[in-house]
Amino acid sequence: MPRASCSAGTPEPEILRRGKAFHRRVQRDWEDLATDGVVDSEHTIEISRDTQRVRSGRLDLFVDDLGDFVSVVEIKSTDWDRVKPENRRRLVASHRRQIWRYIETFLDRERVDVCAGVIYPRAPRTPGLRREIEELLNDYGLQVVWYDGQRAPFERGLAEPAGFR
Amino acid sequence: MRRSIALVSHRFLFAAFLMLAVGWSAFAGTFSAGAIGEGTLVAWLAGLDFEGEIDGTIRLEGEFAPDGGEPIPFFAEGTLRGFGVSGIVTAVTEGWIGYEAEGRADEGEPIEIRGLLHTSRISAVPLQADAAFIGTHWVRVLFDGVTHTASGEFSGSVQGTAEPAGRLGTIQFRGSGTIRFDGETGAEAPPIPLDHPALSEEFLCYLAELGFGI
Repeated sequence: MPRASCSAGTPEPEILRRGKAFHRRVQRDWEDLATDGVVDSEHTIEISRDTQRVRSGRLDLFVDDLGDFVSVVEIKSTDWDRVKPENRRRLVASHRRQIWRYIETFLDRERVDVCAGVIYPRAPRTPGLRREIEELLNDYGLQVVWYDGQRAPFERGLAEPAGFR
Repeated sequence: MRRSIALVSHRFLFAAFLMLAVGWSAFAGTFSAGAIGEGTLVAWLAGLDFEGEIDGTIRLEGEFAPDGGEPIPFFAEGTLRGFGVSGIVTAVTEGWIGYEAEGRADEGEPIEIRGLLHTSRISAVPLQADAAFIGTHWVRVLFDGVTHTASGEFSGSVQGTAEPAGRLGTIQFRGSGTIRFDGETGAEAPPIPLDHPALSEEFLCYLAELGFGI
């Protein structure tokens, strides 16, 4: 039986396409706005190393040269209203663990403080869900940005992007 | 400290609103005021502590009667600075906000107000919407050549949201909230602890300049 092809002819699922667009939009905004520090999108770091292999991670947004701390920001295109209630905590925990792997690298190895957070496209409309997610992440020192609820990228006249809006 | 310098220089990036309703009569008189503060809060992880600095401006408007006579309306504005620390493991949050404001009384007399708020609670980090808190408040009012000191408890809540802090290249917290201060006549609040290891020397110096140093 012939195997399914992953050729360029296969259309990319809409959800993935929009997720990538959101990802790029946030990175572009950040690079345009951050006048302090050095913004590095898709920054690769070594998380661990043993005799078998080296584990690395890729930070969506990494800002260095901010003094004695760095910024570590993960961009997720999660639409929380569409996540089944029984899966929410597991997904939040997945996001939290991913970021904390990066944070620990800087705290333990680089000995610098870390400003860390997650950016999601929009706050959920489901009553109480926004608070639930914020609490689950805030409890671990992770700040949550609902990108359509903040003003900074647009205060300097950047065009309001399409995509999730 | 480079971080602090960077944070202070970019306080305009972040706006946090505080609504402060104050009332006490610890100097044989009464004092009541509302205040609006605007500032920035940038938070970071320092080991297993979640720390944050607030920096901004404050405006107070109200009236007081230093000798128990007719209340004197006043308006004052100035600056505020704060520091907060929350242990991720301990889930204990502690925060300090100092402020100083200068203005005029109704008849044009100068008035100067310096205050310090302190809160300590068992909770998650203080960045959540509708975060409620209680704490201790100290204030010094310089009016007509006399400094009046008052203290008591306050309670309130903060609402806000995190957003990118463009210039600083990090995330900042912007919010609005209300604080209500209720003091008993002649009552004194307990001393505000200033021995937390996370408190920076710079912030302690600022508080000392306000008259709340150790």
